[in-house]
Amino acid sequence: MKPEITTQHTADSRGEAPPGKTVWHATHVLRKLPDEFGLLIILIGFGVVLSILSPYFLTLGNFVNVIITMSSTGIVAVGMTYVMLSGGIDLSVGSTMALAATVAATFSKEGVPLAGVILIALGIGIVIGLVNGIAITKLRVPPLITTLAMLSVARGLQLIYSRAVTVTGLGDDLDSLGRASILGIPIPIILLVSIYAIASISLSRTAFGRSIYAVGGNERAAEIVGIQVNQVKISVYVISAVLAAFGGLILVGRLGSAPTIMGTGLELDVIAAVVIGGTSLAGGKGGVWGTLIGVAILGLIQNTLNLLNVSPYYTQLVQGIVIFVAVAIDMNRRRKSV
Amino acid sequence: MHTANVLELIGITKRFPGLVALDQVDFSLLPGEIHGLVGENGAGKSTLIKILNGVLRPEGGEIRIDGQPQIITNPRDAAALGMAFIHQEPTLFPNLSVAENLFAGRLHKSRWGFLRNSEQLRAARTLLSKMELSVDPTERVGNLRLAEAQAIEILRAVSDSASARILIMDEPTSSLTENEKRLLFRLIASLKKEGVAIIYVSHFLDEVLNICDRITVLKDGKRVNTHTAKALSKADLIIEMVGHGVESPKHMGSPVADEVVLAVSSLNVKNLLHDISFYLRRGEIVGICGLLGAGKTELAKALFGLLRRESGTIAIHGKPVDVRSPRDVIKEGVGFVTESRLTEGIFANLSVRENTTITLLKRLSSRLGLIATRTQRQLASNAVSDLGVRAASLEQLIMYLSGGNQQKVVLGKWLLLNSTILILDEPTRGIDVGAKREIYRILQRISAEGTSILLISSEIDEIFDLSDRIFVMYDGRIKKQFARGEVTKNQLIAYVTESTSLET
Repeated sequence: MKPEITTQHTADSRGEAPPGKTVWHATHVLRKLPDEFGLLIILIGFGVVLSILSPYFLTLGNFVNVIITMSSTGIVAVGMTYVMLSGGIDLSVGSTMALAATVAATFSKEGVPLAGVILIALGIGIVIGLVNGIAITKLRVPPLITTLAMLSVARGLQLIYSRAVTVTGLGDDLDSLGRASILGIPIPIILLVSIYAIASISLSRTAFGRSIYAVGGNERAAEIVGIQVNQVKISVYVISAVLAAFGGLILVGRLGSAPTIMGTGLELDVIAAVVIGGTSLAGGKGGVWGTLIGVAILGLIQNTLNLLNVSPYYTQLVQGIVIFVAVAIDMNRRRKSV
Repeated sequence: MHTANVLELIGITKRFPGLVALDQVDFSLLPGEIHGLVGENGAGKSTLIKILNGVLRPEGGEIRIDGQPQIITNPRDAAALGMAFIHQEPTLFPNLSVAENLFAGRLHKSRWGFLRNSEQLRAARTLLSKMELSVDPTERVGNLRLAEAQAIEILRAVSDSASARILIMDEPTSSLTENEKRLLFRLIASLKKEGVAIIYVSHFLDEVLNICDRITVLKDGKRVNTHTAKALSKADLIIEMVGHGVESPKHMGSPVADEVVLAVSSLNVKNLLHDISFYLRRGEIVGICGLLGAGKTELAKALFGLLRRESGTIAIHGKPVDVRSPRDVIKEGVGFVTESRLTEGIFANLSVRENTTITLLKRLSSRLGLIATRTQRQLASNAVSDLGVRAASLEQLIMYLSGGNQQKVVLGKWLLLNSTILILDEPTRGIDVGAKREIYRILQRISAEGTSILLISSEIDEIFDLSDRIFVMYDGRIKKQFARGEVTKNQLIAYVTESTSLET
């Protein structure tokens, strides 16, 4: 038998119908682009509108400001992307961030050097992630419930620990994590970019990353090909909690204090960013670059409304509408492409 | 016969990519008639049902209801035309009462929206007693036996104001016990008396012969014949169904070595498998057949660590293996192609390249943890051309491939891992005839090269043509074993289908 195959490497044939009549509709062209492309257009569209609305928008200072503001949310969103790609969800990121950062801040205040402070924060993240992951895999409690409980537990611990008082007077080195620059580039931006780069490589080029997609796409099939499903799941929750803790450190450094309410409602912003970024709630589909665009879209909305002196109450309203519209457009585009 | 047909199909044709599912099929149904529809898997029965239900649209032919041509575009159209569909598993509301289920969507209520409970219970009792069902209308449906629930579903369908006059039953007895079946048959008889016409799809031939007036045999999408049931013997029916089969290439008799690669002894899984012992030799194909529920898939899962063993030992390549998870056996060179390709086989969102090499991720990783993409692409490309997978490119998502090509990829991932023992559960289910033939060739080739195969299938043809030895399973046990040539195809079919009657 002659092997009848065709393996030409067309640029990107996702969504290509089997060979037949090719009709070049606009939607057809759209379909051939990577999923992130549509989002990028939305983001740029936003930028254009905003620069018309506010002359200050297109200044370098404002840009840097926006990126720094969204850096900690952006870092937490990376962890959420891991979790959601595996088919789970992590509602506890905001509380985890608060607990880890508050504890770390008190140590910093006592004069513990930055390295120690970071280790403490990340250690707390690891413990919380392990508890989440083990509860979800071994006790088989659904992720939504497990992390909802953890949201409450971690917030409770933080309030007990800090006696509901904002921690101030941090060590200089923790402060600098949020404010200093290297070669003129603010450290939060450097961290943000490096974490996205590492995450992108780990998701697309490592066995671990591909296993996350496999588990999220088809858990049963993953188990059958010998992927250690539980190990993968526990890992993503640890990653999520560690990045939440790290995001907390940067936020604390930027603010110069650890307010008790930090991270409240953060999970919603982060999930919104990931979903806007095209990562499927069902798992197995998406990636961190989409998430970054999602974070940027949310950051821009807040920034503009600030620049335009709109009441923060409207920010919530506009943000809700944008989330809905972005996801609705995206879902419809995807549905047509299947 | 001059009674007007309630339903008539004329020249129905349905094509899928690479497959003619129905080819010029004619069918007719008289009022009060029970018309059996039989055929092997893939003969076109379910396609026909889906066309009647408006889930699929035929490319050619005509559907006539009461002599009027009709176009059915969705299940609502079908219901409006008086057709009701009963599937294997009832689609009821388990937490609501029998009465509420019977009148779901048209509950007895007052002007203010309150339930008229007593009125509704009375109506339910009348309905139930008319069909001689002794079920309490206030009982939660979730507490009913399966047959009772099924009866409720049937009652709901035929008692609707738009009253279903055509009832289409798809394998209604496959999950029922003997007693429950009797209940169902009694209900069918009363419906028949009321003039309801029934299309009865089943692979239990005794049942079909007993309760049906006429029987239509489908094979490979064509109508072979329509018989009066009385004049038909089971043997004739089987021969018509099996016919000359997919001419799968005859087995050359693979060079079976004496070396035993898999030895299972006294394997028990609670309630599912009892005292299973057998061996598999190098390069051997052992076929396992049996009815639905005989324990074939359970055996595969137990061997692959997906079901917990109660007792028994499994030795792979002479070494006892404590099988607790798939990883334990994958390590020893065992691969598993599952029965359900979509839910347990493919990663729909990943490319052909990744699906093919998913078993190799660790092995492809460099010391830094990065996957060697070039090697990966090369391996995938080799496997794809070796197995004749037709895909637009290696980067195409596997979900866009045809079933046959998906299955080749699923097989390919184990071959790339150099699995020496393959457990294949219904490896050709739902794929077209051409792809089936290609998969048979692949299996024969790899078995000749020394791979041992445990082939589980409900397609007797495929078991018969490919296997060196054949096991018949029933009720979680291996009931019969034959070497190649010890049994004819018709005998084998009889063993498989009659193991029920032998036992009860």
